[in-house]
Amino acid sequence: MIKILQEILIFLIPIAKFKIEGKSMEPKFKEGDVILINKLSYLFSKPQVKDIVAIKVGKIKSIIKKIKEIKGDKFFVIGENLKESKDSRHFGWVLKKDILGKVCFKI
Amino acid sequence: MIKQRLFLFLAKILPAQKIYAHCDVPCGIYDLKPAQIAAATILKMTQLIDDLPFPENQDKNKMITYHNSLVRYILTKEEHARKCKEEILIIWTDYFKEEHLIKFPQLHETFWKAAKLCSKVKQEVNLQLAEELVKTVDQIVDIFQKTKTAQKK
Repeated sequence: MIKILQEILIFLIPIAKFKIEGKSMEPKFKEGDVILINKLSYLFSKPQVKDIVAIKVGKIKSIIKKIKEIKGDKFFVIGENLKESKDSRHFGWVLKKDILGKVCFKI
Repeated sequence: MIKQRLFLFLAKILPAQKIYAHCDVPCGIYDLKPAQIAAATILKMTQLIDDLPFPENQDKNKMITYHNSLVRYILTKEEHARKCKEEILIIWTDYFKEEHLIKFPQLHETFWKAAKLCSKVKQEVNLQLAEELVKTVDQIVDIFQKTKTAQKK
């Protein structure tokens, strides 16, 4: 029952809660940090350089990265901790449709 | 203030999903170069520790310099052993599949040996073990490249 309610909340509220796993965004975001993502951030505006965004990878996984460069509708994203990060330097530019939203709050 | 309270409230009621800040995502990008560099660094650090001359007299400054160098070499060795293990474990668990195991029956044993060596080179200052780790990682690279070549055909 609680799970169903949570699923409804995820669907209705444009904010998603994530727990970070990994070190590629250190020191800004550490492993275990809880963040909120605003899924409507880019509904009427374009992602900007330095925005920290959640990116959809495959059907169920998401990654967190920082936008470094923008070319039209493509975004070059990197980790804060370049030594530990696999990012656009490895998997190329990311499309806007794959950006889930912007990090709006860190707990 | 209201915004912050609202976010805190939402954080309480919403379930947390996982978001990855590392490379362990199904992006299909696998590279053993970091593991090779880490293994080579471990070997270099082991050589440096081995070659580090112990100060002949108890001169304070020389002792401090000696200990400083020794600690730096050990720290670097530790860090790269951790990194090497992490990199090969990702390739082992995420990249290789059953079909590879049929073609390369030594696959599991080679990875297991490399992972064990990553721990051993931390526990000991042993040139032979460090060299063995470099060789074992090279063997993994060899298998990896063969599977990549087979994919292209």
